[in-house]
Amino acid sequence: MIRILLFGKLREDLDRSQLECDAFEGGTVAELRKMLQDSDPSWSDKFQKGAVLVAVNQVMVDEACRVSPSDEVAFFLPVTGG
Amino acid sequence: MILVQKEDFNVAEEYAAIRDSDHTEGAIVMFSGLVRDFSGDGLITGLELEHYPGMTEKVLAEIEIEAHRRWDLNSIRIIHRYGALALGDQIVFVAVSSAHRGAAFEANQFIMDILKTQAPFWKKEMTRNGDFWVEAKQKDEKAAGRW
Repeated sequence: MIRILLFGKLREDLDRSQLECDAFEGGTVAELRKMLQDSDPSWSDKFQKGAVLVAVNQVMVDEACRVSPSDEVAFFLPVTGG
Repeated sequence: MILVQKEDFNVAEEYAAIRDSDHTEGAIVMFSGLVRDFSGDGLITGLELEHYPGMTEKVLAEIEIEAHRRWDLNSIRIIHRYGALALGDQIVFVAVSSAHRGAAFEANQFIMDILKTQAPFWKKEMTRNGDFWVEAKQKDEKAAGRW
């Protein structure tokens, strides 16, 4: 199981600041994203490649980055600070 | 120095702190970003700024390190607020000091350009017609891309 943090619009759209993916035991960001998309039909577009950014252990990463269940993973839309 | 805080900041105090810290600098360039009504029709009443605690400080610290690596600078101060902000409120402050103005001007712009595309903050506009998340702008990507 992996715990995922959500921020901004994604947090609001999914009405939660964290979610858990029971089936995920490790793999790439792409695999985790696919698992999330498949777990709920309404999440398919929410976790689409290019639509959301991913940070692993508070560093932005790309699709090929490996993730283990003990990592801190966060999904969010492109940032708008400053 | 990096500060991520709810509270407002005082530009005059920040300026004084930089001047007191070191007397080898010949230039201080300061930038402050404000909440503005860019709808043009008076609809926006304020902003709510969300951030990712921990990652925000980490990203800002990396930007600070990178600026020091690229330019010969004396000091960098970055302050970014989060939480509820009203029209006209200060959002962000970046001050860079160096021996000469060129490095300070460039580094300040670099810090702001990278901050806008990398630091995990999200703005939500409060308007008279409801609340809306601000979308990332392509011109900000472009501005960051030139560095």
